[in-house]
Amino acid sequence: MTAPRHHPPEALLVDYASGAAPEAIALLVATHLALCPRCRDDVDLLERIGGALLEEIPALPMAQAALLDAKDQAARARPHRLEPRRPVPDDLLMFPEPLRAYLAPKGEVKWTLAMPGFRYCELDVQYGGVPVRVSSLAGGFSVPRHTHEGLELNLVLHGGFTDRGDDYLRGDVAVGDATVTHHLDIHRGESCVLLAVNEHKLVPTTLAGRILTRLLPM
Amino acid sequence: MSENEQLVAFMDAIASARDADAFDELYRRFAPRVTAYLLKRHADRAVADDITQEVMLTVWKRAASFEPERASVATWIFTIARNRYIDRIRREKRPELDPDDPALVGNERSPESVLDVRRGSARVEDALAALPAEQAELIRMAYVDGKSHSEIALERELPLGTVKSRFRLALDKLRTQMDKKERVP
Repeated sequence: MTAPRHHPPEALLVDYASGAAPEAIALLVATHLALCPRCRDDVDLLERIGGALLEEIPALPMAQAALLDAKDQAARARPHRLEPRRPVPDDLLMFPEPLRAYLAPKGEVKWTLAMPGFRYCELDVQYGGVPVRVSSLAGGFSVPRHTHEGLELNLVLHGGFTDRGDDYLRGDVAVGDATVTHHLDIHRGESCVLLAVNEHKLVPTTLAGRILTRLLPM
Repeated sequence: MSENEQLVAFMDAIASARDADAFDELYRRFAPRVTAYLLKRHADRAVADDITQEVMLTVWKRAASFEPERASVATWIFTIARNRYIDRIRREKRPELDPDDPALVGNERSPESVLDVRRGSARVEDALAALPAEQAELIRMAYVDGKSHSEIALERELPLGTVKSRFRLALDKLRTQMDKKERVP
């Protein structure tokens, strides 16, 4: 796999490291990190800032009782036992953690067929009231021209698409918002699997698009 | 021995020998700061104290899984506190990178970065102290108050673009400072 060339915006990496990111954003960022050593290095540095700031926060006076209580609990606590890892089935290796746990909690993905060439799986997390989903689009499918009312983030897990001349492949993150109107051309020859985090529903800008979105949960 | 190297020694003593004195040291150093951190995020004192105990107990229980090449002790404790806050106060899951996932792509760390992590936070702290006030303030609002870029923009009545560029400048400065090779005496 070649390294991703399209990364989440720095603001989202900072929000991930600081803990400000909502769950859906953290899910997308963390999954991208699994595929992107460069962003992992970046987030390491961002987390180090957190560590340094923690060290310099003025300490609050602490009751001696609290320390004694903690030691007491520690003495009674069992060390954390690492659970043995279950092997990952080949067909799920496409989905790094933490996505895999959300997508296939019982070991397989439950797809919903929206129409020929387009199936999806909704995850148990929302963003702006819209469920986060993993979509699988057949090669050659064209996502109709649309804009957005809020933020749109797509992380490619398999295959690829072209958006305004740029290719997005495994690990790449495409960002859209209200300033962007575009359509997505799925590359031919293999299906394109995406993790989609959308702040609001897509806003189709063509008649065909409006018909399609009325038929589909987009 | 740097401060972090000392803390790493305490962690090691806990992991290998369940050393209560080492835990004492870490507790005195970090528990009061974790509580202060949680209070800045609007937890009330009783809740903050409670969560602090959970965080320090996690430090004790998971000491064996702390890897000094991956993070300084302060950073590791920060991430535990951050995640506990998300779990207990925001009541959300915290999706995290799993470093042992077979699906993970990429290389092990470079030897230089391992050395750097072990030296700990001193360079980060120096770099933070060297930032202009307005940039340092943003960093604190993000990490200590837990505010997102949008929340910061709203609170400071700044355009989001301005917040983004100030962060960009601050982080670039921090990266440059932290990348500086130490002068050989």
